[in-house]
Amino acid sequence: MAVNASPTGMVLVDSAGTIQLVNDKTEKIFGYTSSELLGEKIELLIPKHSRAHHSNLSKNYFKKPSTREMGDKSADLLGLKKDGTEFPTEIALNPVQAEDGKHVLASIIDLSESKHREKQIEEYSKLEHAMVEDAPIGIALTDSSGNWLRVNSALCDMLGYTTDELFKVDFYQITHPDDISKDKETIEKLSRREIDVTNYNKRYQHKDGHYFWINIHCSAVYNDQGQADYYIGQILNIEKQVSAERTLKTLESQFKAYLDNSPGFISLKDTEHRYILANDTLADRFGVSREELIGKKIRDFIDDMAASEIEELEKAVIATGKVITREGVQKQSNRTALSTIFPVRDEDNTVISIGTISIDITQIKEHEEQQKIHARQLAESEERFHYAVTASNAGIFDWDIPARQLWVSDRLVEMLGLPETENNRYADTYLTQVFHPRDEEIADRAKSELLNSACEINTEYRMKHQSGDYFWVEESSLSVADNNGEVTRIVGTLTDISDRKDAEQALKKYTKDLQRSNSELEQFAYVASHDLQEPLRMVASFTDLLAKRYADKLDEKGLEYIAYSVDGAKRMQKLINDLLSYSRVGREQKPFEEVDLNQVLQDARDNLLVLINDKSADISSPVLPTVFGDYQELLQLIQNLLSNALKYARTDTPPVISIEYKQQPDRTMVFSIADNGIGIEPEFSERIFVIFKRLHGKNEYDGTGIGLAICKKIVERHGGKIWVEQNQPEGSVFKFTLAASE
Amino acid sequence: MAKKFNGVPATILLVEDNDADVILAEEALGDGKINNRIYRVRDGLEAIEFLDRKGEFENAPRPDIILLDLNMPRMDGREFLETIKDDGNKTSIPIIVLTTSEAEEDVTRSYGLNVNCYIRKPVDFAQFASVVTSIEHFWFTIVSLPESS
Repeated sequence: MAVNASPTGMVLVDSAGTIQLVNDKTEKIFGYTSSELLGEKIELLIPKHSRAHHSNLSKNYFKKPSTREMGDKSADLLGLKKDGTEFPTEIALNPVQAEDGKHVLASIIDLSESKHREKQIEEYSKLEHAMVEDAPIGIALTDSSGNWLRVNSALCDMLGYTTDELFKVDFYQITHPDDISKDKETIEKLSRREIDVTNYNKRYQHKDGHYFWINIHCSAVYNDQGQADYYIGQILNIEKQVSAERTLKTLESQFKAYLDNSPGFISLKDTEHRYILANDTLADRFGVSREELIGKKIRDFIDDMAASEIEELEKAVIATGKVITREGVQKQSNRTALSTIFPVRDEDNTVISIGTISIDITQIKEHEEQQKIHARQLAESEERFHYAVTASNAGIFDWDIPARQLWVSDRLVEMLGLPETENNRYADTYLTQVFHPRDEEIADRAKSELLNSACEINTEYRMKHQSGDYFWVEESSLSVADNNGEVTRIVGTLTDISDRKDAEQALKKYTKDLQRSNSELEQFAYVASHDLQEPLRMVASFTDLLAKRYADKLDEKGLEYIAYSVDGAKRMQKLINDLLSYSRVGREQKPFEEVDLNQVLQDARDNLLVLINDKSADISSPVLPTVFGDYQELLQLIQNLLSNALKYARTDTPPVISIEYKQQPDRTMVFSIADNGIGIEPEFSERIFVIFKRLHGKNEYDGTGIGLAICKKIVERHGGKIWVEQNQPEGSVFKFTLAASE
Repeated sequence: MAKKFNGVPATILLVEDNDADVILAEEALGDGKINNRIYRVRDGLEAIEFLDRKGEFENAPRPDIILLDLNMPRMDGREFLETIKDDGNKTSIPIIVLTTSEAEEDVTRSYGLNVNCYIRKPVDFAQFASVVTSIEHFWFTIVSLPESS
């Protein structure tokens, strides 16, 4: 009876292993009826594989029966149900003494349920561990006093503590001071069950001291009395979100700032061309506020045609998804705008709105036009410069003094043999290397003058080609000063004057040689004639004296001979004198001065007075000009020509001489002295100017034939020409040119 | 009171190194109407000694006119003129330079020396003679000569 009511299964088994008695529980556990079990062997309730082991155990038991548990802990005791399932058991054994010997009473507990439960608990535990421990959010369990009961690794990581460390730290220690009151309040409410769950944001403090935002989901576990036994916190680190929000706010305000301060019109429209967003500039343009603009279309503000044009473009952008940029002129205001219309897409790449940025580029366009004109002018100017430079064949340099840099034209690079550079720029140290050592002083002086103040210079010196050759250049340069008067730039041309210099030097040398030769010649002529005169004078004088003194002692022939001798000597002397005169023309190299020809003519007339009167000559002239020359020589010239005109007059015809002059376009004067004398045949017109060449014998007309040679020399010394023409109806016209006085 | 010669022989100092020229000069002067006493020295130095009445010229008369050749040894005509130009006594005597060519005239002229006139020694004797005569006539009959001191 007691056995029957027992919650555990009971089986009485004799020493042979036969089941004597079973209770109800046993029936339930094994699934047999008692009638099925009575008289059966206990092995029926034991799985086959354990039976051998059981029989051992059984034998051992009966050797020394006691009250104890069956089996050892090494293995589960398994029972076998009627349906064949095996299940774990816990069996207690009690020896029973019966009339027919030793019996054992086995109390059997079906552990399968509790095992099952155990397993379940184990599984729940595993699940729970997995869920809590591996949760990405922090989870904390505290008791009603707030002491940590359980914290997961996510929370520990969040806070930077190990689990042990965290357990040592107070809940409030890890909270930002400003948030503690909220925590306390929450706990209060939860404990009073005012609320049983809540959610708010607060700040934790990391182990390293920095604060970060979290979102905590708090709840409590209440017992039957309604008191909170446990508090649960689920903690989400929202620091990233918070800073993301902050960043977003900053971006938003930046965006807004750009929008508002943009000089352009910025707007965003939906695919139906309605404004979603616009900046103040655009709104102002239409005379409305930004908010009023939203939802409207552009055709609400401008003429239909223009609006349609724009909406067409927007449709194109929507359709193609491409950005369109175009320049358009607004008809009414005549202003040009550069508009960019672009699509805004979502994650599926669908165009969800249209953005437009429009900038007024009227001024820019005008400026561009200006630039184009200037660029064209500049190109022209540069081209001109380039041609001029090339044509002039001069080297050009441009010295930027503060920058210590030289720009040098191609020609100058060539002239100096400088190494080629890409942009023709050189360091100004080159300036010290390119002069002839003896001309450095000159170049230096020029440079100093230019550097001293803005001025122009012109000078000549020798420069050195890289190869070492020297050549002459003419420098023409100027310096430019800044507002402070400091010279900052020198620009100039260098012309290779080697040829000119060579010519100059050749000329100088030639002139020197010539001068030397001339002076030698002159000196020779002078000395020769002078020294020749002496003995000649002796001969003539004494021959004459001889004739005078001893005339009575000489016969006619003797006197005739003497006469010839004297005559010869006289002629010789005259020749020598004439030669001397000829050689003396220009010998003194007196500098030219202004000569009044009227004065000269007067002097000539005075000198020839006797002859003029003898011949009853008539000499006429207009007022003569002033010329540039040597007075004495010009006197000799005029006098010689007049003397000739008087001498070579026709017999019985008084000489009529007229002097004329004419000014040429090139400022030279042509003088003419015309006579009515015997004239000169054209074929002799040049011969007469040759020294000592005469057209008549000495018996016909007196003279040595030097007069005209001297005239020619004088005229040529004055840079002119002399020639003779036939006068009509008879006579000659002697013409010569002279430079007018300036 | 200025001297005028009328029959009184004039004293002429001839400064000339060339004997031939001396003959010519004497001949020419001899043809003149005026009776002249011609004294001759050979160069500028002797001329100065003559004027200073030095050495062999102790008793030399003061010449009324000097005919001066330019080219002489020791001291030529130009040097003579240079030397006497600051001596007022000497420069008061008229000096006529005898030159062989116009060239010398130029040279002498440019020295600005105290010369009264130039005569070229002509090749033609007759000319020379007439020139000399003209001189005589001019200087001794027409012109007033300063008193000798």
